[in-house]
Amino acid sequence: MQRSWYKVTVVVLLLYSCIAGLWMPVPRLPILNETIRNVYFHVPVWFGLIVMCAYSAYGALRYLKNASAKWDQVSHTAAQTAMFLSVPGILTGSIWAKFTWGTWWTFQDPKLNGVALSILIYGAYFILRSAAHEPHKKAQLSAVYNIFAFVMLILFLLVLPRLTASLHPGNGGNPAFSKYDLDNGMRLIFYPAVLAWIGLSFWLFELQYRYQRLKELYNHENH
Amino acid sequence: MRVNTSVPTSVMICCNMRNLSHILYRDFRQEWRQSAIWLSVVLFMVGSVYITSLCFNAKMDKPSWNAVFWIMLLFTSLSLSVRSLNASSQGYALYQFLLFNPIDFIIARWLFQVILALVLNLLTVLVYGWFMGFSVQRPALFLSITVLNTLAAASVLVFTNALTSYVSAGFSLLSILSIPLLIPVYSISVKLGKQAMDGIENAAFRWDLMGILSAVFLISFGLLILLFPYLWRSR
Repeated sequence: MQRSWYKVTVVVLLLYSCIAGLWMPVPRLPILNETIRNVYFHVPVWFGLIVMCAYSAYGALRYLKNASAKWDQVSHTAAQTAMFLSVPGILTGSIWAKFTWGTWWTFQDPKLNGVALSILIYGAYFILRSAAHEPHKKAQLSAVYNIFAFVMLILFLLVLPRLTASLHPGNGGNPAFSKYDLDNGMRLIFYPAVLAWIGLSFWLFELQYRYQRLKELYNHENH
Repeated sequence: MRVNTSVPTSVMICCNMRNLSHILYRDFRQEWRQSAIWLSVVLFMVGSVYITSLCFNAKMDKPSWNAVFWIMLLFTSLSLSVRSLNASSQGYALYQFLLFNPIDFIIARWLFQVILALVLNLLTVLVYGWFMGFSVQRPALFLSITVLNTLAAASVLVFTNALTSYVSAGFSLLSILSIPLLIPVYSISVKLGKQAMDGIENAAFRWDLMGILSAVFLISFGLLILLFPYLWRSR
């Protein structure tokens, strides 16, 4: 196994955050009660996603600086990983919303709209890539769009919900998750969870990246 | 005129006003002579307003008036952008590449699109107001929201236009790329427009949302200037 220290650490941290997250006591807050445990699952996944999107934008910048296929592949794979991570992100959020807000989804909340839009924006990124056929042009176009998409993601996902009325914790005047950590007990599980999910997202990225490179090499040799 | 042979290494490429005004003048002259793009979108807009007034019997409650207005602006802006997409032929594209600086070219293109979109949208306000009534308590604020929305939307559309002009499947791709970026712009404009219609005073008005619209405009324009030279040299 390559870099087993890294993978073992990620697995241990994930197991710790999941088991301790469901088992250790949490502060009792009105309305939230036990659902506050979602902080250990939902938030770290989104941290991983944002980090992946940032890495994708970084790869796009590196590609624009010197056009090597490697950075285009990095950018593309990181975007794929981010899209994959959006699934558990939304599922955990949706389950939490069902228990706290009484509904699986709402179209009135700006954060949720921002999430839907960001997924559409990155979906359009993949469509743009499939529309361009020549490799250099595909890479150039998608790098430019990726940077634009990332800046818009930051704007619509992180900035806009904080300004508008939102029920989502941390936005629109609601206390952010940091205020819940009344006894630092939650922090003890939360920070390792964030590290674990960021680590996991890079692991997934690496697997996908190696697979795509091998596929490319295979295609290159056989055509 | 400088021939574009070097790769831009910094974004402090001086913008040659003479070149820029030349490109702009040429674009407007072509538009005036052929009248294919802008006037057809104006026709589309007038047609939509007319159908709307037929459907609603020219009577609408305030929220609906506001919402339909902004939706109409969304689709006319998209139309304008899509129609400008294939305006230039292959030969003219090569001519542009050889003669012009990418910064001059893209600023001229941006100015051209923004001016067309501004005139179109202000005309929409007039026509829509004439057919459907104009019961806005703070008209100046409403107009400034329209102008800011036009700037933001047009900048986003010029950016996606620049991207899709390099790809053959242009038209549908432009819509797919731009609509997720335009949805928040228009939903913010709907909120602000409603406030302007209700005559909210300055203290209670959502200036931070105006700030978001300006941010979208500045980010789109800034990224356009920064990133377009990279697209230019991949011709």
